[in-house]
Order: sequence, then C-alpha cells, then structure tokens
Amino acid sequence: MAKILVVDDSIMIRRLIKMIVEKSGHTVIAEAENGEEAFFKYKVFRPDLVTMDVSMPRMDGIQAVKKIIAVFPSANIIMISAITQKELVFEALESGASRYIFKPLIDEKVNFVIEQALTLQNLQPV
Amino acid sequence: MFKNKFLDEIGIDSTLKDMDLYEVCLEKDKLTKDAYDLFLSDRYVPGIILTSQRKYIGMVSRKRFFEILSRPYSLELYLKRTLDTLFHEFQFSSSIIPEDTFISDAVKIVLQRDSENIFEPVIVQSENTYKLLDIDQLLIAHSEVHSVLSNGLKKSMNYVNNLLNNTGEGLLTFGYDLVIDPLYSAECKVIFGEEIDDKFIPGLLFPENNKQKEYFSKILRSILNKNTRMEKELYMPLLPAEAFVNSKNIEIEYKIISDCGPENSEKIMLILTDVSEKKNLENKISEERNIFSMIVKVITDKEAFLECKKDYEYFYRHGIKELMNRYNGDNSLVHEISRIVHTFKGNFSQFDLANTVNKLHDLETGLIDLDEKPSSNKTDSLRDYVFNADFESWLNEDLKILKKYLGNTFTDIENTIILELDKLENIEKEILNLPKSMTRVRLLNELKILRAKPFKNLLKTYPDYVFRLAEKLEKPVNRFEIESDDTRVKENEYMDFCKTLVHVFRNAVVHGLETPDERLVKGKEETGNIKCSIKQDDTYIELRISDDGYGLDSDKIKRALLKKNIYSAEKMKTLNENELFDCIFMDSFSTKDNVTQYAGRGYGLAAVKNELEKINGKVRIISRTDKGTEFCFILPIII
Repeated sequence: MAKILVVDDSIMIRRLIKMIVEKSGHTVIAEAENGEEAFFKYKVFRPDLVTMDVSMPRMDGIQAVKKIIAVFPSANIIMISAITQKELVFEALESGASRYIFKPLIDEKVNFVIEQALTLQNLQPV
Repeated sequence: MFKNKFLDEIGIDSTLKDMDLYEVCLEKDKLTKDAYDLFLSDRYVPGIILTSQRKYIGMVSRKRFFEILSRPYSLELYLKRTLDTLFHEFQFSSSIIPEDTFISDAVKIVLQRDSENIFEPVIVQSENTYKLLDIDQLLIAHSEVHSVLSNGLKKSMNYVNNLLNNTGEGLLTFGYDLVIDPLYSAECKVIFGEEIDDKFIPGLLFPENNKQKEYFSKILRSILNKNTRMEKELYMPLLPAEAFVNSKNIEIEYKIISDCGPENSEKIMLILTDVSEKKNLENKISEERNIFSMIVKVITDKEAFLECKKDYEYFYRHGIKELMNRYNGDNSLVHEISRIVHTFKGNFSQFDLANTVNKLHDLETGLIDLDEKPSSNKTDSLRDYVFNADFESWLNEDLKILKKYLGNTFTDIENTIILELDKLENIEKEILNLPKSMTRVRLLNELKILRAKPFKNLLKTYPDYVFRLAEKLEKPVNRFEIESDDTRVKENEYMDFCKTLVHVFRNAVVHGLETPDERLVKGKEETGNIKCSIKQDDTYIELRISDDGYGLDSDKIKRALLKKNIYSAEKMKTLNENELFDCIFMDSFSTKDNVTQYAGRGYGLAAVKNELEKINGKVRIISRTDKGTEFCFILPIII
C-alpha cells in the first residue's frame, strides 16, 4: 500500500482525501498547504504518491510539480482540479504529473486513478 | 465483342488465370511449315511456345514470325527447315509472368518491356506449362478493371456523401497540421456558415479567444504526438467540450481515427452538435422557475420585501446624493457605495429578483473597475457612473412580473396580500408545468401551506353549539375553546367529515353527560366538561373529543346488540372492549329507547364513520365508567 502526500490549501479537501485513501488501505504520511511546503515535505518523506491541488496560494500546483520533478524525476503526482481548469491540468501533465482527478472527489474515482497511477509506476523501467 | 466474353467476369481481384490463354506448343525440330499452317488455321493465335523434349525453350509470336517470313526468299528458305534454324531470330528478353498475377500488376510488368517488344504476347506460367496471352486482351481487361474500380469508387463516394449530407452532426477530420480535410458533413457548413476545407480548426472554433485557440492547438498536437493509446486517453478529456460559434452553442466530441494513408498516421475526428436550442430551453425553464420562486418568496414574506423595496427607493432617490455630499472628494465613497449596492444585491437575491440582482451585480463590477483604474478625478467619474444607473427601472422590471401575477395593487397594503383564489391556482398550475426539480417541489409546498387553512377553523362553531345545546337540555357545561396547534390543511378535504362531528358533540351532551343532580351525587362538579383538541404529528392529525360523563355502558351496548339481533349471546362473549365500543358506529345502532329531536335514531355515528373512512381516517374510543368517554380520531394530513 502506498504512502501518500496530500497537498491542498483547503483542510476540508485534505481531510476528504485522507478519509478516502485510508479507507482503501493507503497511508497519508504528510500534508501540505502550498507548493513550497509540498516540495519540502516531498524531500523529507519521499512519498510513493502525491495528490496535488492545482491552485493554491504562495506556490501553485503547476510550479510545485515542476520543482519536484526537477529534483525527483520519478515522482508520481496526481493533480486535483476543477473541470474548468483543463488548461492548467494539461500544463501539469506536460510538466511531469502522471494523472489527474476532476472534482467532485468521489471514492471510486479517486481510488481508480490512484490504482492507475501506482500500476503505471510499477510498469516503468527502473 | 466476339471473343471477349471473359470480360463479364473481370473484377479488381482477377488474375491472368481468368483470361483467355492460348496453349499452343511445337517441338523445336518441327518444320517451320507446321507453324505457318498453325498460324493460318487460327487467326487469333498470338504465338507459339517452342519446346525441346516438352520443355519450354522460347516463344515465337505471330507478328515476328510473319515479319521474318515476309523477307525476300524467306518462304523458300525456311518453310522446309525445322523451327530451331529460326530460333535465334525469335529470341528476346521476355519475362515470364505467373498466372496468379493480378491484371493491373501484369500490365505494369509488360509495359516495362523495351519499345520493340512491347506488343509481343505475354508468356504466362501455370506450374509446368506455358501459355500465351495477347497484349491487347490484357490491355482491354485492364481497362475493364479500371472502370469497375472507378464505378465502385463513385458509388462509395455517393454513399459517403449521402451520409455526410444527411447527418445532423458536424463531422470533420484533420491531421497534425490541424487543417480540415476536404470531406466533411453538410452540417459543418450550417454550423460555421461557410465551407471549411483547408481551414485551421482552432481558428474556426475559437475565433475570438487567442488563449483558447493556442491551448486547443497545443493539446491536439500533443495528443497526436503521443505514442500509446493510454497516454492519448489520458489527454482526451482535457480537450474543450464546447465552443461558441456564430452565436451557437456547439458541443464537441472527439475520436482518434487511423488515417489509412501510406504513413499510417492518425487523425482526429470532431463530432459537433448544435445544442443552442437545448441550452435556450434550459435557460428559459430556469428563468420561469426563477419567476415563480420570486413570486412565492415575495408572497410568503411580503413585509420584508416591501421594507427592502422602501430602502432601495430611498437609496436611489436621496441616499446617493447624501453620500456624495458627505464624502465629497473622498476616495472611500466608492467603497461605501459598493458596500450598499452589495447589500441590496444580497437582499433582493433572497427574493430571487433576478433582473434587479443581475443589474446590481453589473453595477458592482463596474464600481470595482472604477476603483482599480488610476484616475485623477475619481469622484467625478463615480458621480457620472452612479447617476447614470437606472435603479428605478431595474426594480420595475421585476415588479412588472410580480404585478402580472399578484395584481397591480399588491405593493399597496403592507402586511397582507389580497389574492383571489383563482390567481393563486393559476400560479400553482404554471409551477406544475415546470419540469420536475427540487425547486418545483419546494415552491409547490410553500404554496400549499399558503393555501392551507388552520384545521381549527373547521370546528370553530362547535363550542358555541355545545354550550347552547347543553343549556337547552339543562345540563350546563363549562365554556371551552378548541385546543389546537397551527395545523394547516386543505380545508375542502375535511369539510364533510367535520360536519358529521356534530353527532359526536351532540352525543357527548345528550348521552355522555349526567344531569347536574346526578353529577353532584357522584361527587362531580355540577357543570359538565367537554373538550376538543387538535395535535399534529409528522404524518397525521390527532383530533380528540371528550366528555367527563357516564362513560360507555358495556351492558347497555350488549343489550342493544342482542335486541337488534346484530350478535348472538355467544358471539358477544368473544368481543373485547374495543370491539364492543366499535359497535356504536354501526348503522342503526342506538341504545336510546326513544327518538328525540337530538338523538336516538342511530344514524349519527354511522355517518361519522362513513365520512371518516372516505378520508382514510381511524377512530378509537377510550371510556371509563363515571370518568367519561373520549373519541380519538387519527386523520391523514392533506395539504
């Protein structure tokens, strides 16, 4: 089961994601409120997976993806976004994010994408 | 033509085997004369295969044969000699073509021969035998293949065009250059208002939005560049799902299709659907829903609405001027006005005044712009901006709609709305016509409660009636009020039932209560008590009517049942108290021996029961000797 870093400026969303992923057996090893904190926590905790909100104060999700991927190219990052932010999600994917989830966050959807992202990583040559 | 019957069977996958082939062979040691005779006997034989000990060594064509023999003295020279003396003359490099070669492929090979030999017959190999094919036959067959092909092509083009011209969807394709392919459906022309071949698709779909155009191009190319299906599928949902073209709402679906071209590259197909009508309808429905929501909200809280209206009117008539004077030249004026406008917006949106709220919202946006714009004289531009705003007509737009449904005078009296019932019914009918939604359910409920009357009203004449009847019978009772909560119902539904309750009240006085003397003997208060209470639960109404008199006399009931032959004595023993009490609702049951003006016929309670059943109600009687009797009716709530 995966160790997950949850990045979102809203505590409600962080709590929701934590609840969903822990129900399916994963562990949330750290949470972050913005991109800078996300990068810092990534360095410290080296999670298997990151869920990353697209828009956050200080440093947004796109910048955070770029910064993390630059240092840890194999980082596995799932973007969390509203359906109206397709362009930002595209930019995040081009910057190295592996998947995305459009809100609202529903258990099945979140679990499905997380499984996909984890399988994807296992398929990649080391 | 005389010998081309094989042509009927020629198709695009015909091979040389399907053609008329000549198998004419001569051993090389045969005389030239034999070949000469053979050629003369069949004028279509294109040539002769030469063999040596049955093995193929070459071919002599009719043309070449007579060319040689027509030289001077040739006839004399060659006719009597064997064919191999001539053999060197016949030889030319002719490729041998297998019989299962397609006609069009064979033509390609044959036409590559040098110009001198180009009209020589074609040698066709079928396992170990060799046959000859006339070149003109091959060319005729080839032209047949060509015409079959082009007819087929024309036919399928017709099919495709028929499909494209008659589908209601805009279908188009493009490759990596994002330039639209020449074949697209007729609906595309309707959507874009022009022919679109060779046009750049991002420019067509997002003509005015450069950012969107750029994003669209980037993601389309990115998708076409991805190698795996999985990657493509990851990116597809990021494509825009709709566009606004030529004042039309266009829904866009995407498909990746293979090009079938030589590079086997991929293309993207777009399926465009004009959903403007659907969108308009949706908007109209939500607009209507809004209107009724506004009406209901204004009706239910008219006082607050009028208060808000009054404040608003004061603001645009005097308030603005007062503020201007107070804040003269002060930049915080714009903030103050914004704050007030924002409050009005909030207040009016509580009543769903869509038009006023929208206009105030625009005004608010304008004020924010004004504040952010660096300007030397903010106060002047603010003054112009606010004084030009037509506050009055914005509200009037909404008032017009309200007046249409509620009557022109609805704003005149402050606390009440006088509304004819049929007007209310009209509003209800129109709301019923809206598609089902939570809003509709809510609106209908609020209207129903508005239309509903307190249940108490239905019983309001009984306390008086009881008091007067009791007086007349010299059984005085204490004055009583109906104890009730604010249970509201659709009055008509309960009217008939409540009318029959006169029997219950009358029975209470006539049969239930003792005379004052009897009461005194029993140690009771001289004046009797009759009570009536209404209580609403979640799903039902509980109506209790009680007296504090004799209580029901089981023995008397039993006697009456026996006397009227309703039950036998044995049967009676099996009845419990409740069942026994229920008998008093039976048709023509009465324990009174004499009929008076007030009681005794035994139809009263039967009528109550009858009406009670019509509205699916239930009744239970609780009675104790000398304590009294209580009728407890359980009624469904009908609003």
